[in-house]
Amino acid sequence: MCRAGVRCTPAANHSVCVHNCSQARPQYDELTIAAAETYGDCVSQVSCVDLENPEAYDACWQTMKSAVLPNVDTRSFCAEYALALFDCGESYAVERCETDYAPYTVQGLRRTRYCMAERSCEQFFTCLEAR
Amino acid sequence: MLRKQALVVAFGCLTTACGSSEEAAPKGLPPAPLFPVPGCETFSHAACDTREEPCQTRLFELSSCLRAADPNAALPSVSVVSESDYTAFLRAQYEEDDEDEADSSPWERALRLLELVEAGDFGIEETIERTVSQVYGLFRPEERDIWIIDHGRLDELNLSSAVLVHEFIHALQDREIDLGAYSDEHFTSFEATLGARAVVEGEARLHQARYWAALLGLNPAEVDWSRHFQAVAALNSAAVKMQPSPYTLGDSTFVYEYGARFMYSAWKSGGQSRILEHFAAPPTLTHSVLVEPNGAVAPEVAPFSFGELTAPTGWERVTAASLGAWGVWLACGRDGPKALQVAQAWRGDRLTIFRDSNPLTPSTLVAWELEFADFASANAFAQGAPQGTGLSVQRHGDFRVHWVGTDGVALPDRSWPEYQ
Repeated sequence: MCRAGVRCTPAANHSVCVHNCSQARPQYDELTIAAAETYGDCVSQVSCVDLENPEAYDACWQTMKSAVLPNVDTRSFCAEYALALFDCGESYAVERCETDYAPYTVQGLRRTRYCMAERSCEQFFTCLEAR
Repeated sequence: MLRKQALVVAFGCLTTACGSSEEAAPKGLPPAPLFPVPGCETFSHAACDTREEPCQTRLFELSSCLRAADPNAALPSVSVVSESDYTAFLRAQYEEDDEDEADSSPWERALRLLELVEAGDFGIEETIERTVSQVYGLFRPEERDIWIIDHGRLDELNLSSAVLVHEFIHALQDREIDLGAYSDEHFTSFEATLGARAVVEGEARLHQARYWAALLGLNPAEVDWSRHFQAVAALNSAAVKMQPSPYTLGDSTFVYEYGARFMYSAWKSGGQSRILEHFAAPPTLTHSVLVEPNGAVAPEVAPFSFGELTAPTGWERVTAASLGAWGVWLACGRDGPKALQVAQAWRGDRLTIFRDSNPLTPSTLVAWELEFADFASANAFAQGAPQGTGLSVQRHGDFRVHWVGTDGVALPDRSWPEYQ
C-alpha cells in the first residue's frame, strides 16, 4: 500500500507511511504474510486516481480473499464461530466464514475466538464490535 | 380490524430468519463436513432451485420427515407469483373482508395514542405494501396451494429453499388439522388470534430453523436450540422497539419468533405429539407464549375480569378489547428485556375506546385498565407507558394501572373511572 502511496505522492516517506498505516489499521497485523502480500500487490497496482476510492480497496480485499486458501485453523475456528453466532440468533454459513477468515493468522482468529467465551449474547456482540 | 391484520400474513414466511447470501465453496481444504438434519439423514438438505419440480419434491420429502408426516404424501401445488400478482390477491382479499369488517379507524387512533402505530398504518394500501415487501412465501388454506413471491431473489437458493420448507410445513399442518377450520375456531379475538397463530407459525419456524442450520453447515448436535430461539426473539424484539410503529412489526415477531421458542419447548419435551396438543388447545392468551416455556400445555393464568366501563359525560363507547401481555410488552418503553418482565407479570387488561358524542368535534378517548401480579411490575409499566399531553397514568392500589389518553381534548375528571 505504501508503495502505491509513494508512487502517487512522491513527497511521501515510505517508512513514515508504513508506521502510520500500522497505527491506523492494526487489523492488517492479523493477516497472514501471503494474504498481506496479495492485498499489498493489488493495492500497489491501483491507479493514483482510484487510490482515493474505497471501492478499489474493497476490490483488492475480495481479490485477496479469493486467492488465499483456508487451512485447518480456519476450519476449526469457523465451525465454532458460525455455531456461536447461530446460538445467538445470527446466520453465518461455515463456508462463507472459511472464505472470510482464511486471510487471518491464528493470532488474528484468537482475538475473535476470545469473544466466544462471553456468557451472554449481548456481551458476545459487544466484544465483537470492539474488535 | 384486528382479524384482518392477522389473516393477511397468517401463513407467510418473513425474511428475518430466512435469508443469507450464497457463497462459493473455498478452495484448498476438502469440502467442509455436511451435517444433515438429525432424524432425516436419508434426505439431502442441499439447497436447490425451488422453481423446479424435482427440487420441490425433494424438499417436500424432507419437510415431511421434519414434521414426522407421511413420506409418500402428494406434493402440493407450488407457484411462483410476481409482487404485482400478490398485491392484486391481497387487494381482492381486502375488498372481500371490508364487507363484514368493522371500521379500523378507532383502533388506529387508539394505538396512535399509545405510540404503537403511525398515522395511516392501517390504510389498505399501506398494509398491502408492507405485506408484499415482507412475505416471501405463502400457504393459502382455501386453495391448499403454495405461492412463492418473486422478489428477484429466487437465485439465492438457501433463502428460497428455506422459504419453501416453511410453506411445506404449513401444507402438512393443513392436511392434519385443516388450517381454515383452525382459524375459524381460534382466531376469535386479538389475544386468541395471536396465540393460535404462534402455534402455526412457531412450528413452521422451528422446522425451518432445523433445516437452516443444516444449510449453514452447522453441526446440529452442537446447536444450543433453546438459546438460539431465545436469541432470535430477543434480536427481533430489539428491532421492534426501535420502530416508530412497533404494533405492525411486532405482530410477526410475536407469532414467528416467540411462537418458535414456544413450539420448540413443546417439541423438545414431547415431540410431534406435544406439538399436536398445542394445535388442539392453542394458547388463548399472549401471556402463555411470552412466559418462559416449559413445553407442557400448561393452565393459563386466570386474567382479572374488568366490568364494563361507563362512558364519561359527553362520550360514547365504541369498542373494547384486551391487548394482553403482548400489548403490555409493546407499550412498555424501549427496553425490550425489561418490558418482557413486565409483560410476564400481566394479569389482565381491558382497553376501551370512546368517541365524542358530538359528531362536530370528533375526538377519541382511550381507557386502558391493567392488572399486574406485583407492585414492581405495575410501577414499571406506569413509568414505561407513553406519557405526555392528553395522557394520564394513574396507579390504583398496588397492582393496577389506569392509562387514559385523548387526542387533543381535555381528559375527563381524574376521578373517572372509579374503582372499588
